[in-house]
Amino acid sequence: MIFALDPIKQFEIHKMGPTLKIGNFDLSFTNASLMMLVTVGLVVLWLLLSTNKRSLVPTRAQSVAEVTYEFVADMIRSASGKDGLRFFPFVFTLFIFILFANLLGMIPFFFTTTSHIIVTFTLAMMVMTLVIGYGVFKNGFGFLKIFWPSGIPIVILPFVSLLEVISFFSRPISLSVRLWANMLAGHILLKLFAGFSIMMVTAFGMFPGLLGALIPFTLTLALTPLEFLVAFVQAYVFALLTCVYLSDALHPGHH
Amino acid sequence: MTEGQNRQTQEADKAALSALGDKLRTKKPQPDQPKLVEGTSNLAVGLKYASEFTAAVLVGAAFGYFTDKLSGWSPFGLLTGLFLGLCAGVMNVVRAAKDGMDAPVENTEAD
Repeated sequence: MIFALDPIKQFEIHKMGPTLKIGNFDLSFTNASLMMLVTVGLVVLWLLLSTNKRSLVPTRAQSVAEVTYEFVADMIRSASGKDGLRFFPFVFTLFIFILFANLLGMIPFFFTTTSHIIVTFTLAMMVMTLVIGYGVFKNGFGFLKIFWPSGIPIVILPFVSLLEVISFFSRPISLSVRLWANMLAGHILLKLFAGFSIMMVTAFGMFPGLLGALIPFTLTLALTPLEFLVAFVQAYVFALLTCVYLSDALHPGHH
Repeated sequence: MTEGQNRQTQEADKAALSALGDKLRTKKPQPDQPKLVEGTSNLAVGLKYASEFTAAVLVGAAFGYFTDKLSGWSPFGLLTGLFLGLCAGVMNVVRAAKDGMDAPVENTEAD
């Protein structure tokens, strides 16, 4: 019983199928890989099916896809300007992948890929690689201007620019930790409260137990929609911050 | 006579309605740029500031640690790194708070 109620157990990774080792790296297929594949598969299926019969007057499914497109495009336009739209495929993919991964995690017995820091950190490092890569490619040494803020007295400028460097390198960490911690904490909370209500019944029997289970059960009920909201908001925040960082690559020395 | 009166009130209504519509349009806040909306859950707000601050301190400490390793100034590299990380953390938190208050993030022409 305790085993089933363990709130951390849901994050365990199991190997599926044969062990695959390359050098020191264990590249076996796990339940995390399976969930990521399911996520990608669902996204592809959804977008393919909804844009299958493109018509000028969109069907319901097509208009959902169009609204999603517009939503991401507006976000990029407002956060990194018109020329940020060249990153549309990247930002859209990130947003939809995280959103679907978060939402799929809300289905009972499903594994939440974004509750593992290595997944979110990889996503954040992709963003940072793109920012640095494109920033240097487009601006050359001018990209270093993001570490050299304007309008600051020359006396403290070296100090501030050191802080800017540290702040820049802290971005992937804060970006990934935020998504990961939100998903992890939310899922642990849900499981804890749901577990409490079961514990109450097993410990005190049907009559006082069910009464005692009322409070944790209500909390579970209240937390579930909140978790759906968090799933969306965190995907949105991740994508929006990506846009903000990308605008640094496009216009360094502009903040 | 009632016919004419009816028409008259209808005309008047129409004019009043359009005036009201204009007034409403000026009063209504324009749909603005998306903000960093994290006010939805207290946990999310806390994690936002915590992650911003912690990340900077960690990066500063890592910088300091590797400076020590490379130069053998131990422990002053780590100390300086921690101090710088702390400052950068505060800077990050201030920035994050500002984004929440007066985003649209990039379109302020002040700087």
